[in-house]
Amino acid sequence: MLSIENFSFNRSGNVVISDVSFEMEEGSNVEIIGSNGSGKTTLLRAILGFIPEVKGNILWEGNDITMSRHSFFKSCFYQGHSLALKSILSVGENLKYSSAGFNSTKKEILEAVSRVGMEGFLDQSISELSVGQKKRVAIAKWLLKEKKIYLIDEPFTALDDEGRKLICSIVDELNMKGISFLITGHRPSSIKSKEIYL
Amino acid sequence: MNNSIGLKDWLILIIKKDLLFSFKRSTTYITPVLFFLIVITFFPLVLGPDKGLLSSVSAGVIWVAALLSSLLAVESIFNEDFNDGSLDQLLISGEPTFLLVFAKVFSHWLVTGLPILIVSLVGAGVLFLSVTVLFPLLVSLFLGSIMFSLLGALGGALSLGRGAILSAILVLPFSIPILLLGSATINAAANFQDYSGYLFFLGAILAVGLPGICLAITEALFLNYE
Repeated sequence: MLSIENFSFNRSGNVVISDVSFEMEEGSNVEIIGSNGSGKTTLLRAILGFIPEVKGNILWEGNDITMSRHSFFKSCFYQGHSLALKSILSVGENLKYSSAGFNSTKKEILEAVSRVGMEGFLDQSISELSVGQKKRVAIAKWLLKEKKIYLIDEPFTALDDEGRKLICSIVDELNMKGISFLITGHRPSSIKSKEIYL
Repeated sequence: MNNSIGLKDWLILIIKKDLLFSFKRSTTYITPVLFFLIVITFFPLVLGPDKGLLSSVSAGVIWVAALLSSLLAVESIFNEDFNDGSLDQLLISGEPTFLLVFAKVFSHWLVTGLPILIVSLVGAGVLFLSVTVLFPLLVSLFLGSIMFSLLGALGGALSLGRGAILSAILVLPFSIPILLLGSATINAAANFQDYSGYLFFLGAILAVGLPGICLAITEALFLNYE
């Protein structure tokens, strides 16, 4: 499905990522593990095409990703460090007016919010939530529209043990439907995945 | 398993979300309107209630006030979305980015340009503009305010992640032709001359500028993105 071949990236003459290769199949997970500044976010953003000056090949369904960008974008969900949540809008409004939640029914939004343990916060504005709670709202988006592949940057950051377990169970659940996850983190999680160290 | 949303959905989503956001943060639309009215009302206070003098400078005053007011909200076009990650979602929508950019500019105009257009009638009264000038004033400001939103968005895209002052400096020189044509329209109408040529020129600039600047904004966003 998604193949990364001999991926390398230099910034200002310094090697950030060197010769990384991996392949993702339907319903499989890959975890990119590395310390701060090791290039985890850079790799995800290069796959999305935000960083053009990279070496190596990125293939989507066998084709160079630059030639199949439209098909890739239609099949992928991306969540970066910034969670794409508007602080003055409520939890419900943020989900309804996100690309994931648009056209979702109120019932679907309610179910997603309940699944991440945020029921009762639907009308609360994002600015009133803790970092961990905001993360849970962002996770609710994963459940609203299913895509083939999810690119998630450090999903476990700022989450308590319960939140980490929640992510693992949602990833397992979506894997069963053939959805794949490319996740970054500082250390391995308990998600069943191929680990790539940077 | 392809549950992606289409272009029409994206356009509606952007406009609805931006309008809801602006409605909840009222400073986005109140500040430009208040600024416009304050600038307009300062002139009679400073120059005195001389009808002839005020009506002779009114065209320039209204247009400069409209330009500066529209620049006040430039920061909110892309920087908010850039900082909270929403712009990522827009750029990976898989839809033509310049159309999504158009939706952003349109919602910005609804929030800043349209209110200025409406309160310009108050400004016309304060500056003793005759009733016959109101129609060309509204039409020219309608065309010009869309151009201001487009230029503001271009400045915002070029200075993505940086300050609003930089975008204002980038935008101001490009707005000179619109200012000249806009004030010439009002002056011609006030002197009972044919002003349609100026309006056609403004319309022509908008017809070329709308797609051209939307494409330029798209390129500027990608250039500034990493």
